[in-house]
Amino acid sequence: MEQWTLWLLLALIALPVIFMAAATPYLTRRTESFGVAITEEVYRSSLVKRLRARYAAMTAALSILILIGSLLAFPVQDEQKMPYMILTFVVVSGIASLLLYLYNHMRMKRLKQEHGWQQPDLQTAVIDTSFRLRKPTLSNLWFVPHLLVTAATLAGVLIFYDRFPGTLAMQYNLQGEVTRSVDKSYLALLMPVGIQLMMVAVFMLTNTIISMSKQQLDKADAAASLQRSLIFRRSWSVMIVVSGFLMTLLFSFMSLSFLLTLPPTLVTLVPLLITAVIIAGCIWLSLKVGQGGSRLQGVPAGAAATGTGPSDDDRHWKLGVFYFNPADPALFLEKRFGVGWTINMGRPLAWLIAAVPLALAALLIWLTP
Amino acid sequence: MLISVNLQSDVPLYTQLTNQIIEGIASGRLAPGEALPSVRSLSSDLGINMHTVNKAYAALKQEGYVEIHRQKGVVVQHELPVADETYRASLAERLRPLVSEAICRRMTEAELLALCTSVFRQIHPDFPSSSD
Repeated sequence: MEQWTLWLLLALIALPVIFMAAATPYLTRRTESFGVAITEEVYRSSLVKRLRARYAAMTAALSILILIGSLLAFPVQDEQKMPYMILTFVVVSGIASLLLYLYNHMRMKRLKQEHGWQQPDLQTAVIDTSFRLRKPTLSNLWFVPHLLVTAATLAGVLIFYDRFPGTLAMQYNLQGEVTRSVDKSYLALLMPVGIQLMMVAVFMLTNTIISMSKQQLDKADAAASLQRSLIFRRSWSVMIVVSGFLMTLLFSFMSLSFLLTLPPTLVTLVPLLITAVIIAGCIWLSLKVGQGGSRLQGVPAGAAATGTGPSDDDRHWKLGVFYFNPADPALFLEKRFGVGWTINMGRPLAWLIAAVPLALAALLIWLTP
Repeated sequence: MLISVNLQSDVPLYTQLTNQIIEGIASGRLAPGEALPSVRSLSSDLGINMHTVNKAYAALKQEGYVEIHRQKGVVVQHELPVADETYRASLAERLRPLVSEAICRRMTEAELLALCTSVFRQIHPDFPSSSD
């Protein structure tokens, strides 16, 4: 019984989920707390500090309890039930941290009102005219290697089609026995190539969005916040190119595993390792850089504790997480609570672009043999 | 160059934009031939209407400060307009109300000229004491 792979898989999913949920309030810009715009000074006040610490402790404790509960409900020995166990854990702990967030969001909103923490300068916007010329992301040409690997995989499948076995092992259990297989067909063999192409398309789209998303410079210290923003965007652009390449290699490996009879342990382990590397990389980057570059060390910040954030636009942030502002032409902008970007829900075009990856995923599921 | 607009000011947004871009060109922070952001990205970044940015760029083009190319987008003119007779006449026209205001408030000619000189030197790149 290869129990350890199972525990590895569990750790791979549970640890990042718990850790990132608990760490989120520490990763946001210093000018936001639980989806409420504040000044950097307020962010560093002991009151708001305590709020963060309590949220982190409670989220971690609750998630661990939910994990134990899921493990009791679906014993780990029963491998068939593993997906249900993980799904239960992810969904229930997701709901729990959402409720905790909402509680803190309301609390923070009240505190802001009580203490009169309005931002001093609500209505100024600052931008750099040469922002997009400073290369906030890598060029999409960096995805050419991904496409070359995909093309080579496609050529390999077509050239060696006759050499592939009659049935293809799609899934192994932890004992290394095949639990699901399909008859050989062009559709089944070309599926990994299809996934590669869709992934590259989604990664290129994401890279473009990172470059075009709203500048959001901090007007209290525009020059430093410009540097932070550029480093933030470039780091995630590099992360997308590198992890995209690893994923591309993974699906080429999958095609190769059909052709060569590789040991099942290897076939199970390689995807796990690649996923682990990517997740670890994302967590490391989130901690190192923070939202909008807020955690970067050594970026000269003009005056300490003066940050006022891009703008005090709480009324456009529904529940502090959904940006809805039809008057703002921006389609994409930084998330408030967390690391990454979100859409302007007041813009139908933003919905449309955000739907592209979902549509591709649906297409893929529909095509799967 | 950094541009900042005040969304609540009495000065119209498009005037704030044109004023800052012209000052950017005057001070050398925007070089001839330098690309300016597209209408879409400038309006998204500032969170203002695209028409406002369009209007500002159209006015700048009209006055000869920028060129609008189909491919390259908006760039600062290489050959900036010169102070010809027409310009001088229109400048004098625009100065009249400003000078009148100053006179009403009992500013002397010397004070007004000193203020003019100081602003000129703040903007002009040949005076190193200028600040951004």
